[in-house]
Amino acid sequence: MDIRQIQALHAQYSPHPVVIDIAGHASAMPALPAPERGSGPRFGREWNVNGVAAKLRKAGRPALLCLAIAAIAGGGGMSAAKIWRVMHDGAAASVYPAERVAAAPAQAPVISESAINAAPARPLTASDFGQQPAVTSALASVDPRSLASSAQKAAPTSGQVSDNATNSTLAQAAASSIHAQRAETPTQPVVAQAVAQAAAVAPTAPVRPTATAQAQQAVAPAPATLSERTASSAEAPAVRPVLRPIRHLNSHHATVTASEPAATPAVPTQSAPAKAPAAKGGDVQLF
Amino acid sequence: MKTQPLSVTLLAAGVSIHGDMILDHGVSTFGIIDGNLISNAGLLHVGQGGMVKGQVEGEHVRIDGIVEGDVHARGILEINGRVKGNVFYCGTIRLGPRASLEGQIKRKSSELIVENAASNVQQISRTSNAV
Repeated sequence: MDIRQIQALHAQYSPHPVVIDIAGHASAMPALPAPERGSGPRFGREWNVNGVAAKLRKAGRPALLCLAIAAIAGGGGMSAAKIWRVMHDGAAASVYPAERVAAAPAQAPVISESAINAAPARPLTASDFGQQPAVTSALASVDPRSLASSAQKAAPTSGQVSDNATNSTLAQAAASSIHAQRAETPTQPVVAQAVAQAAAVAPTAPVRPTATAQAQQAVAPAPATLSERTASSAEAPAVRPVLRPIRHLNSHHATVTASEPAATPAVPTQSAPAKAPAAKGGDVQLF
Repeated sequence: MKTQPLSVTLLAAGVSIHGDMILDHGVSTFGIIDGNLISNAGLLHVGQGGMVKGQVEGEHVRIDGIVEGDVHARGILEINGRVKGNVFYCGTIRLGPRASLEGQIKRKSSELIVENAASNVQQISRTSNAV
């Protein structure tokens, strides 16, 4: 219920004529704000808005001045740059076409270089590291393609190459000075190549000079049997009795078991003649 | 003719008064009064949402709210609310569509109401003039 309605209601029951003057009543009230002044904050807001606008105007003037100065300076700079360009273009007009002609081909390679290079990468060489020649390693000069091609060429004949290599090494071993010194030893009467094989394959071949000639004859087929043992394991049990006297003669070997018969030296004497042809056959097979 | 200013007391909603309230002018209450409400002149108005727990006496009484007590009106009585008590009036009575009465209604003659001698004399003279 509005205050005007309330006042009108009270006026209906009043004996005297009532003039509704709400504004006057409200203004008569010192404590309460007038209803018309209820819009006082609105005036205050307007005043605040006006104040803010005034402040903005105050702050806007310098900003506008700054903007105007900046715009003038920018325009002047641009015009000066245009004038400078026109002046220098007029001065260098004769040089300009030549520069264009020289610059046009220079730009073309740049475009061609930017294209994708689909060719396989070439191996790095020492020339690529010309700035640091001391740092380059030995492998830098190796061409893997050449290695691959040589390997492919050598692949079908790898067996022959290996045989030739073994033959050459054996020949070198036989001709070495070490075996030349051992030729003075009593063991040399055996076939030279067989001894060479024994020296190369089995280091136990060197025997005491005090060994008997019979024992040395038993030693002779031993290298051959060693080579055969590596080739075929079926003949290995038959060859072992031949090796036993050698180990027995060598005092460094203490692995001789007690179960072995004391007359084992006699066994090689019996078996040696029988096995000698086989050893020779083995030597023939090797070469 | 000098017009007297209209004096009205307004008790807005949210007001709670404990005790009697006596006025020489009109009053409109929308709050809660726990006591007697007496208005010697003008309109005594209990607005909608207002509540009086006590006796209500006035020259002109209009009740739109709730009154828990007796209601005395020397002039016009309008009830459009809820009254729990007896109603005494001298002039006219008017019941609205939302009126709810829990009590007795008694009408009294206005001459029997003697407030003071001066007013009584004036009232008698007025009646004699009318006759």
